[in-house]
Amino acid sequence: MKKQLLILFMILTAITAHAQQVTLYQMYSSIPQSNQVNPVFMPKSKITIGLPLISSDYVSFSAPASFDDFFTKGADDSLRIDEQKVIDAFNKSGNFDFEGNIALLFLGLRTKTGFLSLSLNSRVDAGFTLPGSLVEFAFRGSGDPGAPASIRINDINLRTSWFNELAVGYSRAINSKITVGGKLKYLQGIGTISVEGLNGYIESSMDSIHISMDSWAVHTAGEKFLNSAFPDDSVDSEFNTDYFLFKNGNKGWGVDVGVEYKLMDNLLLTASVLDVGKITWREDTKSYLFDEVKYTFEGFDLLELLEEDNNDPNSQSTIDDEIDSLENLFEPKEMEGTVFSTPLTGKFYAGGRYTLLKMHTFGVIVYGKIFKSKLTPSVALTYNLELGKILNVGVNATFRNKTFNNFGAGLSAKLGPVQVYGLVDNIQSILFAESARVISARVGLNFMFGKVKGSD
Amino acid sequence: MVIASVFYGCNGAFSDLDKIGQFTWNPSLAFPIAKATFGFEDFITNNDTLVFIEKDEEGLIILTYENNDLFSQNAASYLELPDETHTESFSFDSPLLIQLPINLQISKTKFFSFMVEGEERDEIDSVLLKSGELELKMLANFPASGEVKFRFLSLSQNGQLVEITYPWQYSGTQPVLDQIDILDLSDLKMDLTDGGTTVNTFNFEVEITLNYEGQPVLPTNSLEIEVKLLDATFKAIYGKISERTIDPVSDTLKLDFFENLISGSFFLDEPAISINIGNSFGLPVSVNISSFEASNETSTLDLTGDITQPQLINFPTLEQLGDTIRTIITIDNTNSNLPELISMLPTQIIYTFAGTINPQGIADNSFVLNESIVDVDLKIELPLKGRLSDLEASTLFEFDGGEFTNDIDFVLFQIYTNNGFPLSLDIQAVFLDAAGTELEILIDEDNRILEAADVDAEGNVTLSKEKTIQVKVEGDKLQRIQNATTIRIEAVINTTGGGTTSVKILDSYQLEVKLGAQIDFELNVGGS
Repeated sequence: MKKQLLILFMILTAITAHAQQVTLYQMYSSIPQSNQVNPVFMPKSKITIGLPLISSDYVSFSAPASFDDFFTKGADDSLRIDEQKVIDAFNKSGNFDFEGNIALLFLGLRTKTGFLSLSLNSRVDAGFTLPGSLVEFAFRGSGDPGAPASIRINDINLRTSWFNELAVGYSRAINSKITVGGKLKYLQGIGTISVEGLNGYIESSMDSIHISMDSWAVHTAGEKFLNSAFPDDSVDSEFNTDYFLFKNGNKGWGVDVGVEYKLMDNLLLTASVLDVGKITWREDTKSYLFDEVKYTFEGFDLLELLEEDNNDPNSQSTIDDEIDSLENLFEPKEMEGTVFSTPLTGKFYAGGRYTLLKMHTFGVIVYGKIFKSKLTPSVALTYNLELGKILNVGVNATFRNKTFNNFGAGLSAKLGPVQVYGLVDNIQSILFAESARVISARVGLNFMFGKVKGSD
Repeated sequence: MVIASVFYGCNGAFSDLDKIGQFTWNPSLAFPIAKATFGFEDFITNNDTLVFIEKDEEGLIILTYENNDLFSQNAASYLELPDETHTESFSFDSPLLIQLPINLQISKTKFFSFMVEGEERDEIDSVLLKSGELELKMLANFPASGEVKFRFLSLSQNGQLVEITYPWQYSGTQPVLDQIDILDLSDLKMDLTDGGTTVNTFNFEVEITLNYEGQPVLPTNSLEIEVKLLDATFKAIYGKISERTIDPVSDTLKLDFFENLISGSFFLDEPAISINIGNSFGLPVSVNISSFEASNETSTLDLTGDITQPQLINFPTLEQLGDTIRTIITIDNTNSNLPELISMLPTQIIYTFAGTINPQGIADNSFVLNESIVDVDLKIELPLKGRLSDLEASTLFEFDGGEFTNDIDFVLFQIYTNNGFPLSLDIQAVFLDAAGTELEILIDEDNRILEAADVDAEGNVTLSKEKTIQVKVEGDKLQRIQNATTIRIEAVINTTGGGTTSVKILDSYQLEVKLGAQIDFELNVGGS
């Protein structure tokens, strides 16, 4: 049961998504955690302290289709599943993404020319792609003339990882125009499911069924830990604190780099590349290795069917034989203690901003993520309004598929040394939840002390 | 949907959820079902172990129906050695008796003979006996001691004549000899030729010797003899065996070949029935087919032609003694109307065989062993060279139409064939209810699932034929089929050219079949 729960957990996290943190990027001037999206960003306070669990909690989901994508309204005002809309949505992108980040600690020390940060985060990063051909097959089957000729297995991507990240960052102005920053991350994996080498296709017609798959593997790690973390009622177990806190063999490194270039006094260009690195899993690992499959079924042997002795309880039927042989083709070899690596999902941001009268900031941000060697860029227009030393409000609109279809907003308020903030990257997911494909939100509370002169 | 669910719980959005109506899901699944490559042998369900498939040098398929030991009868059924009884009286005449007191001993030998004849007029030279008895009964009243010696001139063992002596001693009482003795005839040879001069004659000599005991022997004193040949069986009989009639044997052959065929023209060019007769009698035997009637449910037809005349079969010579010599009598289109008889698609053949041993006594020097036998094997050979025209077959199967679900919109079957046989096949499935009423047929239009392969002038296939047909079952038809309890499969077979050309079925011909299906479901999900 625990094993199934583990898999369910991983799958549930996998079928959610990865959204970009545009609003956080544009709130660079007020929220210290913007340092997570570009290490060159520096807070204005001399000392920033983020306490565990409350300083920054971030979660984002995205899916290929919204509620509205599934339904169409009929003449009687009833809603009916619109299979064509769903298929079209998945054919454009079948990506599900999920990202979660809970800060366990944040410390920041600002000098006039630099910023040193130490952060400890617990992150979940997952991606899953459901190919449109598979969705179309589920709706229409293999017999529909309009159905795809083959289901491409290699479009199915699955990767989900839960890891802790201890990051040390430093940024510094090199000269009056250029500031650079970097962050070195020590990563400690907690659990993962990763599919490697899943390439192939399935074709089905009245003539034959072909299944062709290269050898592939499913790698997992953290099963024992998750069993202890989420035990069955019937089992006594204790949370394995050592495993969770940097005392396991699943280690890795990652790097964030960023740069800021002051083109003129009010116009700056920024760019960052995040999460370049990988985790090598060595502890509590298990791999399921699948052999190459070349399977063709053109029908049961009619002669064998005719000769079957149905009255013999000991005889294995031709149909059972075929099913058994097919099952055997997909019988994995289970290996414990394997060593494998999973890369981080890389991201990039680039943009420019123009500040007017010290309180209005207009910007443009190009951003994207790199998942399974695929780059999916978007463009966002941003606006920030800074009202004194207390409030900072930001809004943005993302341009994708020739329309502005994604709107974000953020607000931070500093009340003495306490700063609270909340960001939503997809505000319409609240206002028009039925049409939302993405939701991303971050909330937090920082303690900020002092202010660096000239940081305005 | 995940997002939707989250937000519905958070902010009351998705207020239209209760408006979600019934969704009709119409997946269409296409998949292969079965395939096979049939040779001719795969079509034969060999439930009847008497049916075999043979082929000639060319590979022409020959269906054979063998019935060995159709009948067999051995010699014991026709030949028996008769029991014989022969009595004699042996006495001395006066001149010889006068010498007895003087010489004190006298002897006399007499020759006897009797005929061994059965009811038939067999002329037997000799017999190697298997068993039997020779009973000797003796009663003597000579007032003297003495002995009597039998020398059987017709009986020998290992070349030595059989002799037996019975002595007696006179003690003043009579009879001096009263004895019955039995001689075992097993393995003795009985020569009935009297030295090669005649037949059926059993010879023996009796010699009596008297020793004087002080009493006068009179001419009225005698030895009474009774010789019986009892229960004699033979290993071999040599001579001229007279004509005998073999008891007629009747039987019925059930032919499964044509069991499910209803009508149509069926003509094989060269059907044949081989009657294989074995004979180990050392004399001619004639066999005749006294009746041979083929019948189906509607008609009967008798075999006619020269073949119905008695056929003389071979027999072993003396040098082949012990061998069974076989003779094959073939019934075919040269000596009978067999092709017409087969064309009527008989389901059974009722026949009677009769025979005669040594007809008209044509053989003089013959022999019969006790194991001599006449046996008959029958083999029907149907070389598959001929023509079929609208040959209809029909058979019934139980059917459970309730297996179809209402969730099915339609079922589309696809049948691909690549036919290397010079036969076309039209098939129809008729669905019947429990009362036998026709509810529906499966195929509305083109129901020819096999196109006949092209043939040359010799009837050999030159080009196989491919065909793909699709059969769609939907709507009301699907509903009616659900009520069916029986399915009747009807098939119509034609040879290439619609039965106008003679074609061959060779063992190299193959039929490739692929069956696939597409099922379109109509599943209503959710809603009220």
